[in-house]
Formats: sequence, structure tokens, C-alpha cells
Amino acid sequence: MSLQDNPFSVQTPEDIRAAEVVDLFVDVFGDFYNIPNQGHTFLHGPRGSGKSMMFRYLEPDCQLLASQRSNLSELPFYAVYVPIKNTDLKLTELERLENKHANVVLNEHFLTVFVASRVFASLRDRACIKDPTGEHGRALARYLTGPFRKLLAKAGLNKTLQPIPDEPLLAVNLQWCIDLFDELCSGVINYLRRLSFRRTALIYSGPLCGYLDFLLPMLKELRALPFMPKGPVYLLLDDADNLNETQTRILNSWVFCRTSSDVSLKISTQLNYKTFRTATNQRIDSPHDYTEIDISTVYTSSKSHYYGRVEEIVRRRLRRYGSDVTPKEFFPEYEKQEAAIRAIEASYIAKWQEEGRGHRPRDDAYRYARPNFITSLSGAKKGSSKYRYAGFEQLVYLSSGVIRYFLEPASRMYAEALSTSNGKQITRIDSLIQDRIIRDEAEKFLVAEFEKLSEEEAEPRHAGRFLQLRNLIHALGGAFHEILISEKSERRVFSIAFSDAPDRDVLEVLKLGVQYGYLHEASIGNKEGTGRTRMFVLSRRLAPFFMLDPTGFAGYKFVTNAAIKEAILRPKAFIAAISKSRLLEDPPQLRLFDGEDVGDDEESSEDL
Amino acid sequence: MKLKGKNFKGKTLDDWLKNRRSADFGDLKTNYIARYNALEDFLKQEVHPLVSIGAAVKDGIFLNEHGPPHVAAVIKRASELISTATCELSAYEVYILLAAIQLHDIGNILGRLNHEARPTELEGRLDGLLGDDSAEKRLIRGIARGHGGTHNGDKDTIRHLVEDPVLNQIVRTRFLAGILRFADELADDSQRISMFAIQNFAIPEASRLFHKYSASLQSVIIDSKGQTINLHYELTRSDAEEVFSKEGATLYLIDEILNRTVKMHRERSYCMRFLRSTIQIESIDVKINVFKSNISAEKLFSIGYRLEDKGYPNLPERGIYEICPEMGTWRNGQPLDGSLLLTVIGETCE
Repeated sequence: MSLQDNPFSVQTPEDIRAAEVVDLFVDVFGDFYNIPNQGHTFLHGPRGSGKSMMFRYLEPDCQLLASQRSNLSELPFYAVYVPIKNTDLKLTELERLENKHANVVLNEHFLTVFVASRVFASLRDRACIKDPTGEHGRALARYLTGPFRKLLAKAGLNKTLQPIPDEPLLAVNLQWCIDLFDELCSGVINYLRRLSFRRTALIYSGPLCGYLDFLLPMLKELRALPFMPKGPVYLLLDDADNLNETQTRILNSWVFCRTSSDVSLKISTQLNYKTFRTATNQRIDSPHDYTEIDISTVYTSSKSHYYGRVEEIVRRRLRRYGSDVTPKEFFPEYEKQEAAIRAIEASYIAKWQEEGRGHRPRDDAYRYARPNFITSLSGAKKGSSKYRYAGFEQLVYLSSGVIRYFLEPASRMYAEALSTSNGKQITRIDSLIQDRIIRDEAEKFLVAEFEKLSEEEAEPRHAGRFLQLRNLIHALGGAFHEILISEKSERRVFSIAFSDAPDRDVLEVLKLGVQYGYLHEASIGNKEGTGRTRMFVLSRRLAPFFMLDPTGFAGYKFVTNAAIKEAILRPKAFIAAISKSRLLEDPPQLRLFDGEDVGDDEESSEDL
Repeated sequence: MKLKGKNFKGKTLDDWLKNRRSADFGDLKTNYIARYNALEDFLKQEVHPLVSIGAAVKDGIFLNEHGPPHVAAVIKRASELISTATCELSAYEVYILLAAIQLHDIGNILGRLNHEARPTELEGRLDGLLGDDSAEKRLIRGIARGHGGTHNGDKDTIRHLVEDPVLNQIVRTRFLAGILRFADELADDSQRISMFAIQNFAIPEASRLFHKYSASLQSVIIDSKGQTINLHYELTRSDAEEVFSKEGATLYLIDEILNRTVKMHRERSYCMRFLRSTIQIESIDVKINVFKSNISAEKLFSIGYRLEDKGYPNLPERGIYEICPEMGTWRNGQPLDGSLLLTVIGETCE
């Protein structure tokens, strides 16, 4: 379904035209300022958090449109998008090299020619080079027959065996380069195939290209061409988790070289990057080798502008679709429910003078009104489901800092509204539809998607961990619901922080949860006030499943490693123990708002 | 078959290799003995004799011995270094090391600067003599290249060498590169010069000091048991009086000896990172005998000193800014300190 049919449809950024990207893209580089700047950067974030869209926006065709420039050479950098798909580089045949023949060298060659091919494909497809006089084509031809040829010879492709571009047409020569690198890639693949029929070593007599001796000088020389920007080349390696371990180490070696004034590596991961060690076993680290951005942390921290970003994204999509309504109007709240909550708030404000717990009248109102409303529904048989997860603000909270988790359900809501609209233009989505879809999404996330992930997960180290993770999620969700409907002073809880150190088993389960978006990781001051400890936040996408209040700032509870072990092994017993025991402890100074004492309620320990 | 260092005293690596049979190379089908012989013959006859000439033509410098005797000297030093109780090398590793030694200085033929990095540029018959496997050739060139220069601006060249099996063989790349580099450092004695050229002032001024230095280094003895290198220099009163120029400064031969032994100490310290615990050299003992003249047996006096890692390591003068230069230009070219940290925190919180 295209954007014309559905304003919230999610497309692969790679396939979106530059004009559409520029129109839809909300400039988030204020939040992630290291990405468009010179320097190696790792960008971590779950699937759907907008990494590929950021990379697509940095490509030259989008940059030219966005900056309203017509010449490539005026851009401050040249960005090449290099998607690392699961099938491109992670060939099973490469495993045959391990501990046998030139594993690192051949993997580096393979990675290098793959990237080099993308560089020339980018110049062909994304650079919009105008060459009416043929001057640029001739410059490229000189480059290919001069420094480029020397580099190929150095890599072992004998000059006499090299094909030579025979005409100065830019497009023809770019295609010539792509074909050359694709052929070099095929050379490795053919070698690997021949290897599969032998037990003894097989000689590889093809060329070998590396980063320092081929790719870097190739890009340096390329930058000197008259049509190229004077700034560095950015290699945008998207989804680098898909590299095998050897390739990951090689890429880290490239980062280790600190060549960012010529070539800056922008590497995105889905929180499953295999290692930060290089091919020679050194460790790369932030900030001296690279800067690091975790989208989940940025968009779930107190200072985030996530709400504003989503509002702008939705506004743009609606405008492109031809609708002038605001996001709040398009996704209305369930008015009857909100009126009831406002009435509870008013009663808290009225009685604050006599029995209020918070510092200010609205603190108690904010803290207890919605949880009390949910609790009041819980009494009736099957009554809990009457609470409606609807309204733009609530939907933003439920997307848990990942834009795709807003857009995908919104797209489904729109499609459902359209099916009953009798051809009329959709100007709002009924709260009932919002609620139904969002509950269905939560259930899919925890049941269907979970099963799919655990079946698909090939890594043996994760075997058995999925079951434990599911137990943990159920235990935490159940426990947080128990707290929400209790009489505790802090009822809106979404996080746990460790009062001791989690052991390896517990940590592996938690990390798996982070990797697949069920949890996200942060840190918080420890109980003793002597440092910081790990904190894990449950995704608010799960709020409807466990009947939790996703809105506003939430508190956290301290837990011990032993308590989480109990949750992993016996989730029901863990939930049952919540009301009776102290499995979950309050922080020493319970904070609804971090900056409570100074009256600054924007500084929460964790948001969203 | 393995070469065992404990029984290797007085033998050389090339003799050992030449006495091997193909079966000593395990699964490998190539005749590495024949390949090494062909490589050595070609380089000895057609390349090594031209190395010094090439450098002279390109850079106008008169190199000391860089021909077959220097290669033989490096092989001899490498053989002495590996003669320890715990050192073992496979036949394939011996081939790789010897091929790298043969190649290590040929880049000088195109000029002295960056000569280490140049073996890859030299094409033609040499490439064919190294065989058909690209990874194996790259490995040999990488080891040869590690003997000096820089890797992407970093003098720590050996650290960047990848330990990667080749043709199903385990090759300790950095270990071999460490042997080559230190053996080369130790192969700089009086065998390396032409006394005739020195005495007849045939050496240009810019190169004269290097030749005089080599002439003064009478012997280099590797004492594996004592984990020491013994250097023995001899100079006369007239040698001591001669003034040389080097990189725009004037200095005496003794200054050069002091500088060069410190450099050797640094090289030892560096290479040992990659050679321990198989090869351990912990100190360099230097003895300099000063004679009245060449025709006199009268020794005026001796100077002796030992270079070793001792004492508590001192921080460089500029502390953290010298060890980690990026901290010296942390924000807007300013070094990180308390007041800058406060300023940046203030700006970040705004």
C-alpha cells in the first residue's frame, strides 16, 4: 500500500524517492548531532526506530534537495548507503575459511569490494551528476586509468590483465566500475564454491583488496575529482549486525584506523553487534575511536523530544495525504473515559490540602487519577478491557520510542477505518478502532512475534533463553499491574533497577529482551548513592496486554538478582509474592519526578 | 617437521630449509625448498646488488651494505635469536620468514623513503617466484613490511599484522615479524661497510656517519641463556675527533653510538612484545673500547653501559596529553582539565 493509499504505510527507505524522503523526514539530527558530522559513529536502535531513514536522508540526492543546491560538489560530505542484508556478505561458504586459509584477508577483500561496488552504484544512482560538456566523464576516465589502475595493480590485478574503460562517458565508466567489483565479488564466491569440494588447501590467486591499501586511497583519490564534495566520504553501513564475526572484526579495524577526516564510518546496529574487537584483537571504544548513539536511550531519556518528533512526522504524513487536521484531532481520545479521569483528578486536587501526598495539588491528581480509573474498571467481570488505549498522546507513549511502532498500528487503524467509511475521506480514527488495534498489536508482540522469533533464532547461545525471557516479561508485566491496582504511593511502575549485580544468566536474558525490543536498558543511581546501577524498562507496547497505564513518567523498583531469577523460573510465584513480600523494593527516596524538590517535573528517571 | 631451537646452535635457517624434503611441509603440495632457492637466486643475482645503486640514483645517498651479505647477516641473526630452549618453528614458518627476510630491503631500489612498504609495488618475475596464492604473498610482504616505517601513521607496525592461517597452516605472523625486525636491527655491524670507500673518502658527507657507525660496531653476540645482546664497539682518537653532520646538526661518532644503542633498546623492547615467552632478551650490554690509533694496540679506556627496563616507569613530561594526544585537544583544541570540564558541563546543560 503506497502513501497515497495510506498516510501511515511503512516503506523501506531505500525504495523511497528523494523528494518523498525530504518531504517526510523530520530533522532529528538535533537529537543525533554526531551522525551528519565528521567522525566514526555507531548508531544503535531496534528495528523500526528510523536508522535507515536517517541514512537515506544523508544520501546525496536527498541532501541536494534538502539544501536546495544543484551541484554535488557544494555538499559538505558524500554519503554512500551500504545496506548489509543477511544474505549479502554472511555467506555460509565463508565459514570454510575459518582456521584454514586467509579467513581475515579474504573476508576483508570481500567486504572491501562490496563497499567499493556500492560507492560507484551510489555515484550512478544517487549523485545526480550533470555532465553536459563531458568534463566530469573525462575526469573519471583519467582517474580510472591513473590512480585507480595503480591501486588495482597493487591489489594483485596485473595491469596487463586489467580491462580498461574505453570511452569517457560518465555513466558508462561508473557501470564499468560496478561490473568490475561485482566480478571481483564473484571471484571470491567461485573460489569458496570450489573450496567446498576439497579437504586440502586450495590456492587463491585472485587480487586482494584491503581498507588501508585499497578502499581508503581509492576514496581519497575519488574525492579529488572536480564533481565530488570536498568534505569526507561517509560510508553508511546499515544493519551491521548482519556481518559475520570476522567481518565485524574487520570493520572494527577500519574504525580503529581513525581515518575519519577522509572516510567516516557510520554504522547502524539492531543492538546485536557481535564484537567490538578488531581483527588483531584490540578493543575499539567510545569516545576515542568513535561516538555512540543509542536511539532507545535518547528517545526514552528525560530530555527527549520524541513526542514532538512523532507529532511532526504524523503532521507531515497527513499533509502529504491532503488532510489539515492535527494529529490530536486525527487520533481522538475516548472522551467519556477522559472526562471520568478528569473528574477523579479534580477530586484529588480538592482534597490535597487535607490528605495529599505530593508536593503540589496536581501531583496527586496526575499520579493517581488514571491508575484509579483503571483499578475501578478491574473490579467488574472482564471489566479491565473497557479501558481504551486511544488518543494521540497515549499512542505516542505506547510506541515506546520507536517510530515504526506508532506508524504500523496507525496504518492498520487507517485501513480499518477506510473499510467502513463508504469511500469518504478519513479525518479521524474512532477510539474504539484505536483501542482494538493497539490491543491486538500488543498481543501479537508478546505471543505471535515472540514465537516467531524463538523459532527463527539460529544462534545456539540463545537456545532456551527465549522461554526464560517470556517468563520474565510475564512476571514483570503481572507485577507492575499488581502495583498499579494497589494502594501504594507510586503505582505507575515500568522499570526495575538492580540492588546487587545481575549474574551472567540473568544478564543474558535481559540483553535478549533489549535486543528484541521487549526491554530497554538505562542506568540509575544505586541504592547506596555510591554510583549507578543497571535499570531495565519494560516496553510500553506491552501496556495493553498487562493492563498498565502507559502515560507520563513512571517510577522504578529495586530488585535483587535472586528475585529476577525467581521471575525467570517461576513467574506466577513471583507475581503472587509481590503483594506479600518485598521482592520489589522502593528506591530510597521514591521519585515520581526526579526534580521534584525543585519543582521540575521534566526530569524524570525514565520516560516512555 | 619442526625446527627445534634448542638443537640449533651454530646452524642457519636457510641451511635447515634447504635440507628439508617436501614431506616436511605436511599437507602442502608446493615444493617450498625449490621455490625458496629460485627466489634467493633471482634476488641475489638480479635485485640485491642493485638495491644500493637504486637508492643512490633516487636519493643521492650511499647506503651501507644492503646486498646479499646483509641478507645473510639478517638470516644469521634470526637463526641465533631462535636458538632457545623453547623455540619451535614449522618448516612452513621457516619458509615464510626466510622469504620475508629476502624481500625486506628491496624497496630501497626505488628510494630509501617508505622502502618497507614497497615490496608490493615491485612486479614482474618476483611476483611469480612467490607462488600463486595471493594470501601467502600478502603474508610474506606484510612481515617484510613490519620491519620499519609506519602503518597508517603508526610506528607500531607489527601490532597491525593479522594472525590468519594460510593454506591450512598456522603462521605466527607477529612472532615472525618480530624476529625479522630485531634480527635486522642486530645486523648492522662492521661487515656492512667498505673500509676502502671510507678510507678514501668515497662516501658522501651525508652518508659518512652511518658507515663509520657500522665500522665501529665490531661484534654483536646474542646470549640467549643470559637473555642479553652484547655489543662491542671500537673507535680511535681520530674517529672520536671527526665531526659529522646529520639532519642539519653536527655530532660526533660517540653521539651516534649512544643514540643508536638507545634505538636498539627501543627496538628490543618493542619486538619482545611479540617474541616473549619463546625468545627473551632483557638487556643490551654495550662496551666501547677507545684506542689511541688504528696502528696502536694501546687502549686508552673502555666505556660500558647496560640498557634494560628498570625502575618505575616515568610518565612522559606532558603526562596524559603526551600519552593520549586527543586529550590535549579535547574540545576546540583545548586540553581537558577541571575548568574546561566545568565550562563544557555548563554549555551542555543549557
